[in-house]
Amino acid sequence: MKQVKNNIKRVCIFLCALFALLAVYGGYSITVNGNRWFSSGSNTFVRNKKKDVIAGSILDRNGQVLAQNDAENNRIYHADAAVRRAMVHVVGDSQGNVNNGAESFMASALYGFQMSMPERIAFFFQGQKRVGDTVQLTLDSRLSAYASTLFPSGKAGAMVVMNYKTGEVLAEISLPQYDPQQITAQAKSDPKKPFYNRAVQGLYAPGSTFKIVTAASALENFTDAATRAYQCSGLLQVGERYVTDAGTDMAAGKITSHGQLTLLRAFQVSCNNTFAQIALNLGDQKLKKTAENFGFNDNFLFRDVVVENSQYPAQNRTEREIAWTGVGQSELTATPLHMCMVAAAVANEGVMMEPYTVLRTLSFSGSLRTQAEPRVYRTAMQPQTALTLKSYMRTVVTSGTGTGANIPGVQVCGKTGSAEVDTQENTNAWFVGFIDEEAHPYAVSIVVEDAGGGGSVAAPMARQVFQWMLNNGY
Amino acid sequence: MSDKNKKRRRLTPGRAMVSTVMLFFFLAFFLLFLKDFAWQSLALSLVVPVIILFGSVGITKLFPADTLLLSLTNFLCALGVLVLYRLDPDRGFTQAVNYGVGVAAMIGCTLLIRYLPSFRFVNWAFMLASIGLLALPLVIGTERNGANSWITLGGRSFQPSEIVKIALLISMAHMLSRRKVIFTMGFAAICVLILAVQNDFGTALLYFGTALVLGYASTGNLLLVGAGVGGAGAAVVLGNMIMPDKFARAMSRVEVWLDPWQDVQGAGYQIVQGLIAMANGGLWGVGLGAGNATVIPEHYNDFIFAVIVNEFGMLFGLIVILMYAFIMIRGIMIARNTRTMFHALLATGCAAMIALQVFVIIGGNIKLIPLTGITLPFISYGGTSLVSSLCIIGILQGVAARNAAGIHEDRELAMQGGGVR
Amino acid sequence: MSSDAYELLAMLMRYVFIALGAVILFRALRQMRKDARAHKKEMKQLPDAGLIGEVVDLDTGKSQPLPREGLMGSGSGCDIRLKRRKVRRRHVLFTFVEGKGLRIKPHLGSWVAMEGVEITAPAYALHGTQMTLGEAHIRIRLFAGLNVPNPAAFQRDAQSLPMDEANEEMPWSGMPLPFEQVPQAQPPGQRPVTQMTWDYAYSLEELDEARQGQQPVQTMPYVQLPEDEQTEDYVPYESPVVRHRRSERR
Repeated sequence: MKQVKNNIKRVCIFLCALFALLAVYGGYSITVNGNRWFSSGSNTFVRNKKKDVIAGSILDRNGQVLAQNDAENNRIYHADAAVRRAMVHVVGDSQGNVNNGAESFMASALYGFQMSMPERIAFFFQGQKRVGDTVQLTLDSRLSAYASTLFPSGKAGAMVVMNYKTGEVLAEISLPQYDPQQITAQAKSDPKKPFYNRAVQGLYAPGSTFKIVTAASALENFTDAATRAYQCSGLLQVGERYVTDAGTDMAAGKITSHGQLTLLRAFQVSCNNTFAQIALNLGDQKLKKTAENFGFNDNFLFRDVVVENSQYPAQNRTEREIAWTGVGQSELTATPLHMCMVAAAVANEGVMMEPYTVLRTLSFSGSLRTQAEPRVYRTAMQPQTALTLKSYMRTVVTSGTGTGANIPGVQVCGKTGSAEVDTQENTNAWFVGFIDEEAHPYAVSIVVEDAGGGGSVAAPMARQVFQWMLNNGY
Repeated sequence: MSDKNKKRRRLTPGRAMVSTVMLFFFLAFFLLFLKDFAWQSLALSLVVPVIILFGSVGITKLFPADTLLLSLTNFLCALGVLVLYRLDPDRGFTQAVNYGVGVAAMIGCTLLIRYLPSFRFVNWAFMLASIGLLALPLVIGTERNGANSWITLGGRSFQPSEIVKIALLISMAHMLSRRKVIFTMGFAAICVLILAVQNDFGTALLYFGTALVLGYASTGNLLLVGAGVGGAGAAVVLGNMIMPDKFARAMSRVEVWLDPWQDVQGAGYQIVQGLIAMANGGLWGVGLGAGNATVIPEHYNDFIFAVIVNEFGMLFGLIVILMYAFIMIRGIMIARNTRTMFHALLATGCAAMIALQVFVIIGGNIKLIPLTGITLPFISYGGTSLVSSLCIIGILQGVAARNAAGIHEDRELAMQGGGVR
Repeated sequence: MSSDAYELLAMLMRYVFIALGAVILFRALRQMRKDARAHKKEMKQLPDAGLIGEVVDLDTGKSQPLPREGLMGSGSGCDIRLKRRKVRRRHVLFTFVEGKGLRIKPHLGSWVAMEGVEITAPAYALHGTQMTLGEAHIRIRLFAGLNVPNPAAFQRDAQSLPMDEANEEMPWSGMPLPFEQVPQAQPPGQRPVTQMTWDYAYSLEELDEARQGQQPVQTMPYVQLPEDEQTEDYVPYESPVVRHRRSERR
């Protein structure tokens, strides 16, 4: 009987633990996911309340009005069509076609759900419709408009510009774009899916830009990685096939080989052979660990940016798969925003800041309701590794594959990439880079689909963006 | 005795609690009255507190009863009536009527447990009836919400598994107190299998959990618990091989649980709307009568917790969870003061059953575990569910009364001998 | 009422409801603690609650309290622990049956003898029965007043308790009430001690003595507290008898 009573006490503890689990999970879930669920398109509660409120405005970082209600309480967007189209993926439209555009994601603030009780009572007694909060974004609409013009016509793609010290997103562009003021049937049925925000939803193979991660892995796992000599013969046999470099055409008998090189040189010229070798030397586990340090396979739960998760292949069984993962192909996927964060981490001494798009929210009377603070997302690598990689990325721009991004007198660093896609004729052109100067802490990530080489297509776009920013007070 | 003592006696924590509960419901129903000025709301705002007063304090005067348990139970039942009334007045009234029936059943169970010392003679009848009643829906059952465990008799439908719950608790406690562990576990396994075959996974999980809890309480053998879990795993694998289509249905529920947003308009609609309703509520709620939780399918039984979080807030949801926890803890306290193993196991089984039921259904609501079709005790709409939950509380009261009678006996025993030596 | 006004009112009321809910919880917690304390106090006043007697280990002379049902054996989970050779971890199961005595049910393979005779089927033990479990010799002693057949063929020379008014006011003379009730009709400065006693002798020898001498036991319903202890607050009463019971954790 005594034993039974002791057992009953243990049963009680177990059941209490179950209740505690319930309470903790419930509280946590609502607090963390509450806003996302609230902003979901299926939320009929918000839809019903919208007509009772004058929705707040959305501004860009300089105060430009991106969306507001006019006198008849219709939603109108920026006066300039180019700006409207450039910002549409961040701002969204009134129908909610864009997933998690600010119009839907910040509905809680825009439709006055953040009002305090005294404010509500005041409005009630005044007999007026409540006015929602104003949301100020971190993005710059002119920069976005300018950057959208840089894409080759007819090509889809994405660009993200971030401040790597704070994590503010200055531009988030996805092509093709559409006009939120006039949503045409053509936009709805366009097979290129203009409603899709490729900057945060597009999962691409990063191509050679992933060599940043591979190089970081080598530097952190091998003490002699920077100094030892690698051999590139142009054809690296893995299993039954070969790893080749850009420009190799086996049928025509042309094989690109770089001979003996250091890690710096290999990075500079983006030698596939070397990085494949490094990946094989590291083994899947170590490379995966470094990739996960950079945020691959993580469930991104940022405050106001909803990003698709980047994937490191779960099962790299064969050597061939590991080798190509080191080069940035195989089943690796990443979003342009994430690759921008990767470059930002290199620039910021290994510390990856959490990206955010909402700078602050203001109440209808202009008082500050919330102010965003920079937050560290994770430490991707050690500061020493970041410094080394920074120097490598500098050489890419000065005398490597990315000279198209070079601006005289400015410390531009970067990495190009040309990711092969089976269904496309040309490769996806990638460029990730940053300005390594205290006064201009900006990182960029560009991908252009089906456009050709990263160095030839994407790097010049980066140069133009940085140039514009330097000329316009950034 | 001084004035201070008299005042302390008048306002014991028990009575203070009852008066707070009465105030709560008066305000709540009055608020609903202010919404649309229906005279029924006003009437309820006066009647419900009186019923609570009677139910908590009045019953104590007639029968020996545990006031705390009664107060908490009455609060939850009245909360159920309140929320159901707000959703649909007819449902509210039906629930209130069921509550009346339930209280009568509760008193019946209390008296039964208090005065019947041993269930030896009815044990076999209970066990056979359990299996029979559980298997009945397979023969003449009507399917509802994917679970084939309802029976319609004369226009009213009820779930035999709710009735069987009580018999199961008594039988299992009896057999375990006689140390017939393997036999009991076998009996429980048969019941769980019958329920699983009927697609009623929630109740199956409930029975399974309670059986394991009772098994551990009586033997203290963690290996037994491990064997139970292992056996369940083996049964699942076996089930997959024998009945793959049924298994696929169960697996689809697990898929929906993992990512309901994939099929927002289809299979995931219910859980997504539930989560959205809870997010709309936030910490403080949208206010009683101001929410739109009726968009959730089955909002009046499976997702009643989501409705409560929607209108009263997550903080209030936590308060409700804590109330169930207090009921469970009180049940365990009663179990530890018993004098016989049978009653100890019986009380533990009751406490565990309520606790597990709350865990499973609220867990399903907040997407902690896959959703199952069982009800939230006392609050969900459902006659048999309310009556059987009140019967379980009645059993706990009976055991508590027995404990008190035991202490009374012990005192008499001591007095017989005299005082000190 | 307009829906806007109602919404506002409902939003104001939600804080009230949450506050009331928290108050209810808090009061429930206080009630539970109060009950637990009252119960502990009661158990202190009634140290033999739930017990029906004592098992004396004849080899060591030590005795253990005997609950209403449980296990005897050498294992740690047993209610009566007998650490001897040949005593199995769970040796016998015992249950008190009203009117019949202590039902001893040996487990399969356990060697049990009652009054020298080996038993294989469940048997009933009474006050004074001597049993052998494996190599352990024990004697069962049951409290006075239990519903068992009396072992010794002598009439109880009982002086029943004087039923004066003090007694009639005792709360336990009425309905059994749960924990909330606290004994009220105590004369101040005095507290009833309700400890079980044995049958009118403490051992079989004394049983014989009592048989011969017919000495009634002095009974006192109350214990007179010394002056400085006459407070209303509870002061733990140290029983001069059988100290080991204090250490039993309940």
